Amino acid sequence: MNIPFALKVFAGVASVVYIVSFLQGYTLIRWYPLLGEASMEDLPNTAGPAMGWYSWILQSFVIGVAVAAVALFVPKNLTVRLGPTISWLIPLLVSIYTVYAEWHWFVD
Amino acid sequence: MIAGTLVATLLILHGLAGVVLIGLTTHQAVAVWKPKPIAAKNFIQAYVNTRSATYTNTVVIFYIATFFGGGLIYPTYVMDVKSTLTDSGMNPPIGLFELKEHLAVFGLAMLPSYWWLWKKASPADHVLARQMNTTVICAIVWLGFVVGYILNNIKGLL
Repeated sequence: MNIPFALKVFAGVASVVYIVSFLQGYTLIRWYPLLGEASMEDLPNTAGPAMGWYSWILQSFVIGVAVAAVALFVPKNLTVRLGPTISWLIPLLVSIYTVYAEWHWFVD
Repeated sequence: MIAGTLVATLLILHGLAGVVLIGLTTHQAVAVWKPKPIAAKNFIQAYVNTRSATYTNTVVIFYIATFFGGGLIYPTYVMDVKSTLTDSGMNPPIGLFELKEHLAVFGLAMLPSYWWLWKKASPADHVLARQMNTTVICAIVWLGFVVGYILNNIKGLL
């Protein structure tokens, strides 16, 4: 099994799934700190602010683990050159894009 | 939400763990870029000449502990600090925290490959990947710490 490649795929996939979930609003579960409750529904404003962060982490890690499980079976000779790079390049590119996506906080 | 005294305790522990992480990751990130072993004749050479791989497990443990500690006190930030910043129209600090929460997740996702590169791969293999993994995680730790420090100070002043 190609464990090194799977670990690197996990880093890339989890980062991408997280930021896509955040940007597109794919939030499976919301935490309402005012109520101290989690809900799969988008509750009215009286419930206070909703937090999607825990859900985005859960979603990204579940999908990351699933894709990494498939990557375990990719032949090692196909991943010698690509494998090490994706472990840092994808999270770095996603980080740079995140700065761009959040830039409105600093200019509005 | 967690009660006030417990939040304050967790926030202090979160900050202290961040200090430890800053030291560990900075030391490792500086050392990982050295091209070849050097004699440790002065402080800077000794600093660079550290056995970087020995830091790895501690970095992973402290990163996870710091991350989950931050996750526990995050609802208090949303209810207390973020609402105060919003009311004051202070958008840049909110944006900084948004960056911190996102990038901290990317760092967490990198930990398995980071650990493998340091503990399982041969030192002669995947050198650039080891350097970049370590440096990116170090940068994320610095961002998280500085943003947390800024926000803590702002909230203390408001």
